[in-house]
Amino acid sequence: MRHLIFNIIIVLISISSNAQEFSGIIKYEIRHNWIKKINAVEYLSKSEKEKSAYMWGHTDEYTEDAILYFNNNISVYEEVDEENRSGSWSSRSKEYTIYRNIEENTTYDLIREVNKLFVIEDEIQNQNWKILNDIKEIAGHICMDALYKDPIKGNSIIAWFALDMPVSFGPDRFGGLPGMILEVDINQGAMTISAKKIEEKNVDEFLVKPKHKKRIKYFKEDDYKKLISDQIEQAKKTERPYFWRIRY
Amino acid sequence: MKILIKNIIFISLFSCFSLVVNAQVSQITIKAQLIDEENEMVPAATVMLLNSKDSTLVNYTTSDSKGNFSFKNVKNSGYLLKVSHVSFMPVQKDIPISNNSIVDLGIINLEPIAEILMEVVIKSAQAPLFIKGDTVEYDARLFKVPPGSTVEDLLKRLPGIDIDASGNISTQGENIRRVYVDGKTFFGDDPKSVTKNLDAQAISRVQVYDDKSEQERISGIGDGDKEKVMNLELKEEFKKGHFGKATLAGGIDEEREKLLWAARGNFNKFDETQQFSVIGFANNINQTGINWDDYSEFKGSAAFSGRDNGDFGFGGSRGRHMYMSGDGLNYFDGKGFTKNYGGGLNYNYFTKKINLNASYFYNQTDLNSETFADRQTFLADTSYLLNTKSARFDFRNTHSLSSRLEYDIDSSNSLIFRINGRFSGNQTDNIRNQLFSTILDQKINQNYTNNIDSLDSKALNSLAIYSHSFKKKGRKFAISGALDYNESNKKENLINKNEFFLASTELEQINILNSKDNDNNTVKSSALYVEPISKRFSLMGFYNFKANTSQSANLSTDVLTANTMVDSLSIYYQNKEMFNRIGTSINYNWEGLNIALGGAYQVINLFNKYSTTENSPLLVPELKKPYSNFVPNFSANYQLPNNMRINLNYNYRINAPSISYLQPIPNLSNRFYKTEGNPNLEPESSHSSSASWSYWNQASFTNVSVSLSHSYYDSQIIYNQETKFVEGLGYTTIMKPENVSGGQSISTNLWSSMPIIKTKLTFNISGSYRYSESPVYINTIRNTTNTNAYSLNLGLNLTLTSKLQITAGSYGSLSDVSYSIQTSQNQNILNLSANTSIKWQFAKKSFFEANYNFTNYHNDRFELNENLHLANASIRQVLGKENKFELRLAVFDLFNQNKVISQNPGSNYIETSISPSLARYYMLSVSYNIKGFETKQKQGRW
Repeated sequence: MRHLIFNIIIVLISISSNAQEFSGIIKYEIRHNWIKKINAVEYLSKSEKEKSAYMWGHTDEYTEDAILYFNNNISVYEEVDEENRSGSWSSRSKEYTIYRNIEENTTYDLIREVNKLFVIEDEIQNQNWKILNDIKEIAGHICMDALYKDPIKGNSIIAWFALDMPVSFGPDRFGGLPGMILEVDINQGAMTISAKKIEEKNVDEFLVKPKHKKRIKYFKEDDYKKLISDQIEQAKKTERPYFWRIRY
Repeated sequence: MKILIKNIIFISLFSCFSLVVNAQVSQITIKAQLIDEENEMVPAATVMLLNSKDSTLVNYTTSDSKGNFSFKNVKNSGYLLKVSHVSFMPVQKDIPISNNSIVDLGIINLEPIAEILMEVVIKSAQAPLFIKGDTVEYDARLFKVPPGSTVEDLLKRLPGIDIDASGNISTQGENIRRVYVDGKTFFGDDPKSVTKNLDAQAISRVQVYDDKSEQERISGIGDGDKEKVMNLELKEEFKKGHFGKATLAGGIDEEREKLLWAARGNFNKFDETQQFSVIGFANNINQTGINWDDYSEFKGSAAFSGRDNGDFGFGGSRGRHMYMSGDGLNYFDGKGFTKNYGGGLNYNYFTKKINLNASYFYNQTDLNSETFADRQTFLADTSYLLNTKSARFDFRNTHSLSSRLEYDIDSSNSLIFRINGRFSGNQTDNIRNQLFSTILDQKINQNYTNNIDSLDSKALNSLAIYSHSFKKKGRKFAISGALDYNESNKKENLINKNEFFLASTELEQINILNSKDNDNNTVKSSALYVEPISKRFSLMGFYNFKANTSQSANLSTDVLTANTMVDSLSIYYQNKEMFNRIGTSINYNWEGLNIALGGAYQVINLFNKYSTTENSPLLVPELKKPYSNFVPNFSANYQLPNNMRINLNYNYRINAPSISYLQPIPNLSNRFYKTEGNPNLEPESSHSSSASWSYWNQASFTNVSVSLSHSYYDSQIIYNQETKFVEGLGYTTIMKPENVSGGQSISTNLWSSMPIIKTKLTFNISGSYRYSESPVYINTIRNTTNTNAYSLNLGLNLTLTSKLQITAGSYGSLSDVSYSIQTSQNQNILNLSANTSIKWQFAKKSFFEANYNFTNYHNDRFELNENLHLANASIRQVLGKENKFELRLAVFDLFNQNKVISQNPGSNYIETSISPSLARYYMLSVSYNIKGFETKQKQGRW
């Protein structure tokens, strides 16, 4: 045990002192729980929540896959449904690629939301994390947790970041913590993004801005926030869960 | 002057104060060194600077090789410093606003995470360790104990906690003297009373911490007197509970001087793995079953399940479908008056591997109905009229049992079993009076029939499906087997009287007793194999087998001739159908594009034996008909990026003629229509193709879908008719099934919904056009009936406020029917309707709901021009503190006009019929809901 920790420390020292390239791939599993999602929506009636739990409680979960490529400066996150790509039925993969460049402090996110395909090109605006006090192991790494309350969607997000992976990236649009985020838990299990496999290797070929057709709408972070908050406003009025229309 | 002095003093005081403030530095540097318990320096620890008010992350760094770290030139605003490291417990330090520009915290000592916690909790159980100051806790749900275990059993599995033989708990050498449940004392002070009595399954988290003494709690000053306590946090049980409703209603139908009543109730109890429900209803207001909402709640998690019929082949089902078994649901066509009773039980059990549903439903209906129909039949050179009055008294009851088990043996093997049974009885008294007359309203003959039937039937269906997915991605195998058994017995007393007007008035009477027995067995099996060729292509092969044997016996006796057997009507037949199909398709599946192209070869063998009774000689030699064909199939669908979908389908269908076409049972109930069999029939073959396109725009909430389908018959089995005017008898028709080429139909549908004002006003439109060409030979002349049918539906949905919603809509349909043999009979059938509804919450717990529907039925040829105004209104009040009661006063069919009108154009006839139904009545109902009624109006969905 001691020996192991010592080794880790040596590795980390060499990383920090030589500023060696730290890069690799993280495979995440996204787990959706419909019942918990519906239960977390404040504006839905209690009876509606109970009814959906009763009707769908036995098949409330489904999973998707995602990949994060990273080095010290750049991360690229993509949702790839590998399971879905082969077999007797194939659906179109999602257009959702998140690009972060810390050196240039820029984002270049290719997103399809409410039927529009656009690029968010802006400065990195990380979440306002509150650091909590818990420890757990995820994919062989000891992680600590941090909390963020999404003011638009009202979600309560817990991120577990690795103390021994000194990059401030993470899955989806999360980041800005002292270590790599290996797990995100939204609304107590309504949706989790959890690292399953971490592989250290050179992935520079993947660390490029997402490709798209030339004519595309460019959004600022604020435009995106407005788009989301408009949708949530409408969903509230019609009293239906917003996540049937937009991402959770 | 005084004021001035005061001001000066104030100003000088203020400046002094600001000087003090300025003396504080605006930016500071924070530094420290990290040392472990063996005085070793700790490098590579994460050091975070948090806002002291809300723990928001402000800055972070890592300690260097000597364990040193520093934050240079940060705002002097008060922080919480947090140090964390892979192998040490996190440490937190307060950094208040400082007067110095350098805040040197000196040496911070780190304590290693206890090895046992690290190894057992974090690594093996994959459980997070929650550290709240000096409290360490774990998620108890991750330490599995068998059901029925006590908390003590659970604690034995938790690392760092010891339990001795007598049940005393200790941790790190200290005894735990108190156990709290959700922070509260439970059953007095003895910790064992909790740990030995409470069910482990109820616990979500176990916390162990040092409790502060009573004095410390009051004074806030620690006196060092601490004791170890344990807190058990209970699970939130949102997946457990019960709900139910009951309604009693009474009312009157003034016109018919009838008392109306209705009762309905349901109760559901559930937990994380089980659901149990019971439902019952009784009424005389034409609700022959329960509605879909109640039905789905009754079935619970089993309401939506896979459509598993085990018949593998082209296409195949994807996803989950609404599975509605008819029994129990309200399927009444509205004709007549009924009295209904019914109820059922349902049980569901589900775990990650097992999904079980078992359910029973009983329902019975007493029906009393009348129908008045007018039919005009066209022949090449003439036409005649038929007026039918019929009355029906019907009692039917059904017991249905269903069960389904889905068992996922492991990630690659799964099994499905399904067994359904249905037992039903039906007693019918059917009286019919038919009057045939010439186009000039001259009576030809009259036919009176009275059928008294009693039918008992039993059906049993069973199915098993096994599927296996291989290690190689996309390689799949599935096999299914099914057994179906149906049996029915019918006793029929038939009285038939004919009166002829054209010749000398003559009367004829028949009274026959029929006893009919039917047995039907089917054995089915299918197999499917999918082999991936590449990432995008796969090859699918399937085989279907079906063997069906049926026996049918009818024994007829003549009541008028002392119950002698009537040979011409008695029949016994046996037939067998063997079906074999083997097929394959190549599939392309990639990025939302799914194409399948394939074909199958099918062989159908029909055998038929036919005699008067089971033991009498065959009337005709045994019939053997083999049919073999190749059927191609194509399907493609494409999912475009912006929620657009396109589907294309083509298939060629071959259906062997059913036995009733080849050798029908003679039917004497109506001697003016006789049906013959045709042993020379060839199978029916048709080409059908369809295309559809749909689009959903989430941004504008707009939905559009369009579909187009076409089918063309190479060969169709049609009852060709020979109608003759027999002197002294009237018009008699002999119908014989024959293969007729041609005949097609085209249909297009459009559906769209879009907001005019988002969340307030929605517009929806749907329309259809259908063209059909149906051939029939009438007295050997080919008649083609061409129908052009148009329909259009427009609707508006207005949500004025969350408490007032209004809808308005209109519907129109026009059928233009033309007959090639008698163009003078061409006609237009027009139905127009308009409707509106209102939902209004006019007080906190008071609701008003009303709807109105106007329909106009129009047909020039029948001089039909009927207007129907139907209006319903109700007012309801939710009562009680917890809204558990509801009082509702309703009036149905305010204008007392309800009846069922239908207009059917046939191959060479047009028929209009009217049936009376339950009209205006008033009803008062009281409902009770265990969970309380909603006092908020449900918002419109679009």
